Order: sequence, then C-alpha cells, then structure tokens
Amino acid sequence: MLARSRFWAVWALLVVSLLISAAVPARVLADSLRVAIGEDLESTDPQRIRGAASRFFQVNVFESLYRREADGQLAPALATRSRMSPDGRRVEFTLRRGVRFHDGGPFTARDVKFSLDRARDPSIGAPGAAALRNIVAVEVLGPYRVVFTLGKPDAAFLSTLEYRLSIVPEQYIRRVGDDEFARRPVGTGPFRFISRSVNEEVRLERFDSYWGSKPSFRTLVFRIVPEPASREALLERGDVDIAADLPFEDVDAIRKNPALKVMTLRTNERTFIKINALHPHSPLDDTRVRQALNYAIDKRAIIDGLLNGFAVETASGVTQGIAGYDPSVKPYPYDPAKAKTLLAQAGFAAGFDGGELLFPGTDRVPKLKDVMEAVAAFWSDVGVTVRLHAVEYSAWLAAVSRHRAYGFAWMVRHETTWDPEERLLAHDRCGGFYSLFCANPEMDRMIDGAAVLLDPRARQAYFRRFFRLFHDDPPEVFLYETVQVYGLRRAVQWHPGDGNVFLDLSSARIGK
Amino acid sequence: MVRLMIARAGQLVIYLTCLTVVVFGLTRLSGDPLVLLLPPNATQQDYDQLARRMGLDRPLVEQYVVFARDLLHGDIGRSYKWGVPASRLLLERLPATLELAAAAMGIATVLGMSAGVIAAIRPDSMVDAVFAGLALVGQSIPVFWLGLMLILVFAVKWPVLPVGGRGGLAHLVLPAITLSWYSTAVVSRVTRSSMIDVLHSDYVKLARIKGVPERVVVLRHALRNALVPIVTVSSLEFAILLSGAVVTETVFAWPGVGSLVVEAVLAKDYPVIEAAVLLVSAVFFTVNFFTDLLCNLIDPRLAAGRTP
Repeated sequence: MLARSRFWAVWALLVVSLLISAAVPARVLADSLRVAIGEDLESTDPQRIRGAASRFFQVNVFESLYRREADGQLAPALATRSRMSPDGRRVEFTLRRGVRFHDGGPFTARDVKFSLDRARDPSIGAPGAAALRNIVAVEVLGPYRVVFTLGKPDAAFLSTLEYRLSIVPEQYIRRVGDDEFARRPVGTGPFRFISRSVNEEVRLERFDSYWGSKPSFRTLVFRIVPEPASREALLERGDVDIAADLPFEDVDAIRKNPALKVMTLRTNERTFIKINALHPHSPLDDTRVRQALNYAIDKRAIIDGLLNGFAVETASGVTQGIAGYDPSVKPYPYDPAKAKTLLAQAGFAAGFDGGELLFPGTDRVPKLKDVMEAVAAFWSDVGVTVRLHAVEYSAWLAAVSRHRAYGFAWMVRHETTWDPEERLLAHDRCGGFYSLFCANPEMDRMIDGAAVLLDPRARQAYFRRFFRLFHDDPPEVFLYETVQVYGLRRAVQWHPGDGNVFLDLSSARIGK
Repeated sequence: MVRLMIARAGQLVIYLTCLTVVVFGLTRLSGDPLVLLLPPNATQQDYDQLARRMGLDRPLVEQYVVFARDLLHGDIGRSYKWGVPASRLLLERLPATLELAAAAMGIATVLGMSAGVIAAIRPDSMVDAVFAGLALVGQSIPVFWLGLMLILVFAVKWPVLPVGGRGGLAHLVLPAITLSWYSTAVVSRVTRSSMIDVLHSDYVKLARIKGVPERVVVLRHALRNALVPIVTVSSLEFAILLSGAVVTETVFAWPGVGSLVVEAVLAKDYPVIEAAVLLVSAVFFTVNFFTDLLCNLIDPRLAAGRTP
C-alpha cells in the first residue's frame, strides 16, 4: 500500500509542476511582434532563395535598388534616382548616401556590382540569374553612381531588379566567405538577423541605423508552424500576433473572437487552366471552342461554394494593379447555352473528348481537387468530357514544363515582378512554359513588340490591347485570383497592401 | 552474444546495400528535382548546366556508383533544397524526434501494460470491455484529429499547455499523448492476450495452489513470462514512432525528422530522402538488435536456441 500512495504522490507532483510551468505566461514583450507562418526558409542567403515562401526573410532583412510600395508602385530604396538612355539600353542609378549594412559597413556602388556578379555566379546558383541575363555590363562610375548596360531595351528593368537583386555586402562576404554569410547574413533592411533554428523560428531585430523609417517595435519573430489549424490556435491563445495563410474555413472563428481580426490581401496569383492546342486538328485550335470552355464554367459558384468567397474572378491574363489591367474587360459570364451554341458552330454539337485535366494532388493548394472536379462537371454539362488526373507535385511540374501531351492542366502564376513582360516573353509565346497555344500569331507579335516600348503610358495602352486580345481569343480558361487570409490580434495594425504577400512587417504597429 | 552481434553486423551490410539500391531507384521513378529547383523562365541551357553540376546528367548506374562511393566516405551529399549536408540536417532534428518518441513510448508502455494486465486478470469483465472499447477507439481515431482536439481543449479553451513548438516539459505533453495514443492501444491488446495465455499455464496454477499472493503471481510469475511478445511489439512500435511521427510533428510544429522527410519527398531532395531512409533503417536495425538482446535476457531459453 505504501508503494501505491507513493506512486500517487509522485504523479500528483508531476501534474502540478507541469501545470505551473505551463500556466506561467511566456515572457510577453510589448516590444515584439510574433508571426506564425507555414514554411521555413530554404536559406538565409538571399541570393540562394528560390521559393516565394522564403521571401519573408528577404523583404525584412535585405533591400534592392527599388522597392514596392503598398499601392504597388515602385519607389526608390537603395537607389534614389535612375535615368534610362533614350534607346533603353543604359540605365544609370544614383545611390542613396549614408546607408549602412547591419555589420556597420557602408553601402556603395561596389556592393551593387558585387551583388549582381554574385547573383549570376553559377557556383552560387541563384534562381534569379536567368532573369538578369539581359544585363551585359555594370560599370561603377563613383561611390554612388553605377551604370547598367542591357543587351535589349527593357521597360520592366526596375521591376526585375526590385524582385531579383538583393544587395549584399561585398566587404563582409569577401572577409567571412559564403558559408559564414549564410550563417550570419547581413543586409541593409529595417531588421537585422539575430538567430534561426530550422523549422522552429527565425528571430530578427530592429536595425537602429536603418536609413528609412524605423520599425516601431524591437523584435520580430517568425514561428514555423506547418499546420494551419495550429497557427490559428496559437493566435487564439495569444502566443502570436499574426497568423499567416489561414484556411478559409477558419475565418468565422476568428471573426467571432473579439480579440482578433481578419485581414485579406489579393495575391497577384492567378489560377487558370492551361490548354494544349499544339496537336494538329485539335478542337482547341478553334477560338469558339476555347470561348465555350470559358462560358461553361460558373466561376462565381466555385468561388462562393468552395473557396468561401476568398478569390476574385479573372477576365484575362492579368490581375488588378499590374500593367495592362483593364476594368472594362469583364470575366466570361456563366452561360452554358452560349457555350453549347459556340461548340455547335465549331462543329462539336455533340461535344468532344477533351483528354486529361492534369493537376498536382498535393494539399499545398487548398481545395484544388474540389475545384478541378467542379471544372470537369461544368464542362461535361456542355458535352466536353475530361478525365481528372492527379499526380505528385514535381511530376505535374515536370509534365507541364516539358510540354508532355495532355488536354488541360491546372496552372498557377504569380506575377512577382508586378509586370507582365518577363513572363510573357518567356512563357506566353507560342510553346512557352504556360502556353501550349500557337493559334494566334498576332499575340506572339504583340509580345515581341512590348519590350521596346519605354514610355509607361504607351506601354500601359499597349498591354491593355494585348490583354483584351488575350480575353477575346482566350489561350487558357480563366478562373480566379487567389486571396490570402491572415488572422491578426486586434491591437496589431498592419496592412501591406494588395499583392504584397511577402510579409513585409516594417510598417506594422502594436497598439494596446 | 558475440556470435549474434557478428551475424547481425553481416546482415546489416547486405541489408543496407540492398536498401540503397531500392531507395536510389524509387526516388528517381517520378518527377524531376531540376524543374523544382529552376525558376520557370529557365532555359534548356540552365537546365543542362544545373544537371551537370549536380551530376544528374550521367547514366543512373554511374550516379549510383558515385552515390555509393561517397556514402562509403561518409558523405551522403548536400540537400538540393537547403544547400547544407543532408546528414547534418537530419542529425540536427534527430534529438527532437528521439525526445518525442521516447516520451510517447514511455506513456504507451506504462498505460498500455497496466491496462493490459488489469484486463487480463478479469477477462470478459466490465473493466475488460471498457479497455477493449478504449483500445478500439485508440486505434481508430485519426492522429491528426486527436492532436487538434487536444490543442483545442488544453491549449485554447483551457489554456494550461502550449499549442506547439519544442521547449520545456510542458511542450512535450500534448504531442507525446497524441503520438502514444495508437501505440498504447496496441501494447494493451498484446499485453492482455499474452497475459491471458500465461495466466492459464500450469506454473501459474501451481503458484496459486502454493498460496503465493495474487499480486506476486500476476506481476512476477505471469507478467515476466508474458513479456517477450510485449517487448517485441513495443520496440517495433518504438521504431515506428521514431520514423512515422510526421502527422504529430506537423500538427504540433515539432521540429523533428518526420516533417523534414515529407518536405524532402515533395521537393525531390534525393540526398535528404536517401539519408533519412538510411537513418530510419539504422534505427530499426538497432532497435531490433536491442530487442533481441532484451528478449534473451528476459527468456534465457531464447539465447540457448530453444523455443519457449
């Protein structure tokens, strides 16, 4: 009996001590902002970062010559001014004076040249290297003047630099080497790197010598929590101030909680169905067939029924805020009767077998399978049958990038540079990554002509014409632009602006 | 004992060789790591360059030979995605996984064996039926759902325990309970049936006839003899806990090996997948080896080569 009572004593002691250790609140610092995110960064070397998931680190610790404002406009960052020569092949930058890296070293034109050379060094293997290939020379004219020479004129050059070229410190990297730089990265951004434990957290701190407006709080902690429901639980409990990338279903729970609020951002990320019209005699060669496939889908029903309303219907190949967006181009309405008429006119009154609809069967895209099933069902209503084919993510990517034969494929496209040009040139030309479509040579001609247009107003008008054509003779089936859902503690003020989905937290404020 | 160890070492070499071939082949069956690594605007030239740099342009057999040669030199390669040695990535996360698995195993053995013994003493009684029901529930509840429910109750509604992450003892409680749930059920079932077998044996009857107190009969005479299958199943469960805690790790943001492996599989990160499979196999092998040793200690007849 003695043994038994001792057992219970020990047990009780254990439980009590556990409860005490848990009940003592974690040290709450009013001066820190804690953010729960789903995925850890791949590397702390900004030039080795590939995925968009890692960009939260880059945007808070590093800077480019230009940056993206909340309204989507470019604004000077490490450069104060740029001048493009009339032929568009020479761009001269005046750099900001008095900027320091986090290790105290000064920022000069040599760092710009070094950063570019490093980004294009094959041994670094920077994923942005391909986009910087058009730069043929960089010349340092003085400590704060640098000139880029381009192979071809490029009106979207500043946008490309903003997204692709993080400025890294030459002296520091030469002194400590690439590996040490990745261990203790040093940039010019509003936050400096403190520590990181893989798959647990990334800890940053306000950089007190930052040239711009300094963050209003000292510590910024990103906690890596892969499961969305756990991120929401952390937020409800007050363990984090912001939970990013929440599932649509959780929004009501957050709205009901008086201590929390919901913020949504449009993402500049378009979901659509890619059409393979490369086969000779494919029914998809016919404009009327492709229009019919667009008319046949009730996008509103998909968005409201499956995505809880968190998406925006798209009308063409461009989203709001990006050059070429035209509000007067409206999304294809749901009109199955018109779809059937168009199919009949094209000679497919009885419909046709559309082959496969390929998509990745992973859960990294919420509700993807449901959406694909809905698309197939809407099409079968007008007589076009497709077989749903879910494959592993990398198999899907390999299939679509190598143009293997299929009828249709789910695609997503994130306009990371806020400019359609980079992607149009590389992907939307006949046979490009996103396009399996060559039926309209006018479209290819317009894509080729876009790069030489340097005047922003003329360019905007040109792209509007292009994307109207893209709508009228659709090379794809338009679906929607995704919306990102964040949960915030009510006291946190933060709205980085639509399209700014990389968790730039320098402007966030923590109230009472 | 020494002979056993030598035999096992020999088996290990053959086994690992076969394993490397299988893993190497399987990972390369579908998908292409290069398309995942390259940005969509990469050209064929970029693709070829990267393939050359990573040695993926060579024939598969040659790739395997290089892989095996490096492996013998203790180098399993750098992670494609993270750019650091795959072995380092895994070893960094191994302590977290060990901690979680050990805690879960502790819970499973203590609870599972107690429940099993109690049920076995009075088979077909009310208590037995309740435990049987609980075990059924334990084996059928999805780990994922259980974890989220525990978080909801003990971290959000009644906030006594943290939601997730790794920290002190308090952080360990919910994930360990979640992870142990299934194993507890398995251990209790095995304990029960093994105990019932033994309790019906002649030497237990003899002990009772001699007037040995029931507590001693059950715990010393019966349980000790019933231990071999329990130990075998428990250690198998332990190995599974070590390698298969993916769901629990994801729900509780536990920085262990499981979640890393899933990420690696999705990213076609060959070196990490290969390193992980080798590590997990080594764990299985080690656990099996110690199980054999333990069983030999518990039942000396096994060491003598006789069947019990």
